[in-house]
Amino acid sequence: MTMIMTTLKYLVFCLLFLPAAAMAAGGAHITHVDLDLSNKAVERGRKVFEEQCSTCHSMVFLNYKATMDPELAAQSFGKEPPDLSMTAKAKGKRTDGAQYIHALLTSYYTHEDGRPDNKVFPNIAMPNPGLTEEASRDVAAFLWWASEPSREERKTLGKWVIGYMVILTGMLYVVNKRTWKDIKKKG
Amino acid sequence: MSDEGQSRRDFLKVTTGLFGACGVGSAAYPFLKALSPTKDLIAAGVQVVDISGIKPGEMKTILWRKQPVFIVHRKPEWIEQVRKTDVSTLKDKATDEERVIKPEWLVCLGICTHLGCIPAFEPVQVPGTSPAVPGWYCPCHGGKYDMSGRRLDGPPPENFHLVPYKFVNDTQLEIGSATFAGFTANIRKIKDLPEGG
Amino acid sequence: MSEKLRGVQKWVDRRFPFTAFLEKHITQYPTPKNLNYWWNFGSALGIFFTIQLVTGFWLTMYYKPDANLAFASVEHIMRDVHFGWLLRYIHAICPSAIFLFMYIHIGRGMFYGSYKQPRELIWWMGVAVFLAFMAESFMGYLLPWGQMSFWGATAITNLFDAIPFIGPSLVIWLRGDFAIGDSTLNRFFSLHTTVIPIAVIGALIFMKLVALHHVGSNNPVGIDIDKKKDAVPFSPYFVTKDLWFIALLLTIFFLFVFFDPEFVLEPDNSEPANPFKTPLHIVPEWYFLPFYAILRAIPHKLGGVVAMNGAILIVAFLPYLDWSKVRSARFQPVRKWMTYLFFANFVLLGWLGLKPPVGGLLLLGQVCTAFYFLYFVLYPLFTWIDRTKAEPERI
Repeated sequence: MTMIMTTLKYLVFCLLFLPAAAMAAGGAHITHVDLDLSNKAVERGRKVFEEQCSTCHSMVFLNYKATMDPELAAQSFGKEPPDLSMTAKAKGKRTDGAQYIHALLTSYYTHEDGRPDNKVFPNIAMPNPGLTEEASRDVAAFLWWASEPSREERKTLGKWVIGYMVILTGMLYVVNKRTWKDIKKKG
Repeated sequence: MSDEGQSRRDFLKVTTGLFGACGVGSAAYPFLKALSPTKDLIAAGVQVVDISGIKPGEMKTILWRKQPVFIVHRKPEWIEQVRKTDVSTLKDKATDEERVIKPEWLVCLGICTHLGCIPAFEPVQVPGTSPAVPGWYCPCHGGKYDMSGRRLDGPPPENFHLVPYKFVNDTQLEIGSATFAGFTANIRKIKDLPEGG
Repeated sequence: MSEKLRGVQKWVDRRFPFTAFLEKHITQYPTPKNLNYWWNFGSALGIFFTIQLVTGFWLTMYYKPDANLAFASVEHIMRDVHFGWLLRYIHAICPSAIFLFMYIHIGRGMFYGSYKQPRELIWWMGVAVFLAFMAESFMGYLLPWGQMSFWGATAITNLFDAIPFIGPSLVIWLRGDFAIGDSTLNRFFSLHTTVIPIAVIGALIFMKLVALHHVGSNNPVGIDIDKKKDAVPFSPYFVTKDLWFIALLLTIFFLFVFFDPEFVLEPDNSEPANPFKTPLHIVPEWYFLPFYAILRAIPHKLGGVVAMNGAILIVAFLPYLDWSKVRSARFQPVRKWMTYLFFANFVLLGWLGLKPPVGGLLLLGQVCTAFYFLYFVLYPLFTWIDRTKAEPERI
């Protein structure tokens, strides 16, 4: 009984930090959509990136170099186009970064005076690349994959590890219970 | 404590112990694997080389996986000479045909099979050979090789080792493969090379 | 076969007290049989610290402590090193486990009076270990050279500025430069991988164990036990108990490592350090939050620094602040409930550390800080006057 109580208290202790962690994220008002993050979407997104983004944007950790000269780009746009290797991870935890990217790509609008702007990133230096809704989702999926290619391997291995650990913990628990049987009886 | 209870307890302890040991052993695997060559190094194992500038009689040495690779544009008389050699006289028996894809090109690792020095290219005569044989001479301990990279004389035990390669076109070679290690793979005939280049 | 092994064992024993040591400190070590699960966190800390050491050592084979190369080397580990992502995530998440266990471990000590004679030295060495772990994790956090790494280090090293006279020069001396830079990174790496883990934490933990084994373990009832009647040998009883509980803790730990590492990882740290761009929220790791809240509760810079450090160091005084006749809070209702309140207050301070210190939240932070210190200030009072419930004779 006390062991269950301890476990519960422990879990409650851990859960106390969940709202804290969730609140720590914060961020702009992003409408979340149902993103397709499958391998197919990632491959489509790769094409979008290669055809429409890689002119200005590099992805160092995937060996993509921007075709345009970065200094020239900085002059043309006012700011050097950032490297996109880690963007999906830097803009939010878990899939929030992908949501951010999709939202940004689909939030371009024009002011009354004709000046272009972006709802997610006000006064953005990047001109509207004019991506379709689907292309925006796909490139968001690609950038999300690119920020951590080992995700799938991690989850696959994780299932085996947790499965093993649950069984091992159970076995060790029984061994312990039996070891203490005599002592508990006398006690 | 009943005998049956005791043996049940022992069985559980042994099973748990074995199960736990499996886990510990498996846990060691990622740590050991993490020390092996990283994925970028493995990917770098394939190299494209431009051979258009190598004239007949010339050799170019490139660095592949930090190992020297000899690329020789062989003259017709060299090809004739190595193909006339009596293979039974060689220590490491191999015909020239077994060691090249196209006769005009010899591609092999430039590491002496004795103790690892880089032998010197001798396109006219390997010192100490008579009649004069062109090939390589290793200055470290006097190893001698012919124009097929085969060991002729001296302490080396084997012919120059081969590396997987293929002709992308007439002017380009693609050398190496993602998993081929190089000298330590110890392959001296084309047919023994692994698939994929 | 076992004959040969026994022969080898005898050969070694003549030259090195191998068997004697094992018997005295593991197999036969008399442990009170009434220890509850709050006593499991010491061994859990040992295992998790070992995991941290091993994964850390592995990471040093690929990590580059250079401001221009550090961030990329971490990505090299994540993408190119086989299982590099696993090493990195274990190493990044383990400190959270270690600090959680440390807080529980310290809480056990406070509640059950493990700091009282003859265990004061163990307690003080523990405070030193805690401080060392704070320094260790603070320095470790700079190494990935992300935005949060850089700016967190900037903010915390700036605190030393508050020290009168020597403050500003001290900050520059600590950093090895006028701002956080390559010099800082290199020395933090050096300290993080050599002196602090081995000499400080390793040596201190070893000494704690030596002291503990000299005086024996405390127990939930707090009375001195009869080692013959009330103790059981450590092996097998507490070996099996430790093993199963550590397996449970590891299972939960791996759940985070494999399925939600981002629970404790800041997105801002996936952005390379930029000295020209400060992140919107500079957040320390969760385990520093209570002390961060105390720091910000005091509007005066030096006052805040003194309060924050004081909050950690005041714990060391417990052996002298405790005027009770009994060790365990089980027998002192007022102390017991005050201690529960203290723990809850600590968690509340942690939550406040996340919030901007303004308005009502600032006031709450100040109230909680006041309670934190008041607990220690009043400790002599409520441990002395508390009507003690009778302790049992035996456990």
